[in-house]
Amino acid sequence: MVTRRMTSQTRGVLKALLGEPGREWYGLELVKEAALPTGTLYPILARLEQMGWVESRWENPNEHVAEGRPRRRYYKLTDCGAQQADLALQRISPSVQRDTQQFTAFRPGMAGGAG
Amino acid sequence: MSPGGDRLPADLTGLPYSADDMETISRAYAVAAYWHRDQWRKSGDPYVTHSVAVARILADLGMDAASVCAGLLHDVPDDTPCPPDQLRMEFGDEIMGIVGKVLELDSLRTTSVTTVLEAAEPRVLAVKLADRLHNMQTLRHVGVDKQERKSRETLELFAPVAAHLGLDTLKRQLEDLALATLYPQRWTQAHEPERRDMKILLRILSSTAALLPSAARGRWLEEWSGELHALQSRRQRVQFTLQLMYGLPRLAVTLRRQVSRSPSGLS
Repeated sequence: MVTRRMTSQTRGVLKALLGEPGREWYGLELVKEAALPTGTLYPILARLEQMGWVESRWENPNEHVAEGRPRRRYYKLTDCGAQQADLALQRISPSVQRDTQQFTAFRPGMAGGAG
Repeated sequence: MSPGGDRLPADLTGLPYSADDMETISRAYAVAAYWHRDQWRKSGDPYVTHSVAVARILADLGMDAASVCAGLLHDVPDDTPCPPDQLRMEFGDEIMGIVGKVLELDSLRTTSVTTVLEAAEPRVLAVKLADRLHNMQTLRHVGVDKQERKSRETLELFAPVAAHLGLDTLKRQLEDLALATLYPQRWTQAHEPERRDMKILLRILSSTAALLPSAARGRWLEEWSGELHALQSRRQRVQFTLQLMYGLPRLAVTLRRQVSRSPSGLS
């Protein structure tokens, strides 16, 4: 297990997702909401998906075909992901930030830094 | 024998093979034309035009004469009453071995690039890819559902397989046909400069996506194509592509790393 700080980019994505926990987002929406470059967002999403915090699905054909546009991939927090994200964000809130070196965490934050 | 009879069609003349090989290719054509004689493509063309097109694609790829013959014969065993023994006696184990493996590949029904690559030698894969390319070129003649299904499969499975074999032109042709089928409205409504831009950017993305694990490549490429088409201005599309290219190595590392999904591993 690697002990690392969660990067601000990952926090941004989790905050955006937690803002409306049941909502499904497609990549460009999250890019805007989390104010991240695309090259930073997708590795974070891939990591969160691998961890089981986020799940994704293709848009139903009847939605995108009717509108004559390409299908989108939707992402949303899993129940487990919502709990973990909530915990993780609390743990690195400013009041406890000094403790973050002890935060035993995943590293979607590896994906940060493109911005 | 009709349609086409014994006369070699123009697409199969002047190929760079020895006289002996050309003789075998002519026989393979005659056999395919005979057994497919009462069959027709959805386009209304005689079925053997497909066999010839596949053989020509293989010849253009520089494949050997056995592959070209296999291309001509690839649908004969399953789609006609021709006795398999007769084919093996006539064309031998090498050619019919390739045909048999192509049919086995069809029955695999896998979506895994790795499984396909491990299942067959390059000549078998080349015949399968040439078959898919011609089917994609004539896809407009089949139903919309099938068009969409075949295009996704092409994007997710066959284009990556072509890339693995180093058949870059074939890979690009497959991707272009699949994307134009999946997003026709957006594609045809776009102005010419926008279409050209999109094509260039998709090509850049597709080349850079070679960094990603092959099994994941199709999914991400399709997702980004979708996002790219949703962007309205050229500036946004270029920015989107450049930023993605910057992040691709990181995504490749992420996708190649195995992570425990158990909740206990997340604390």
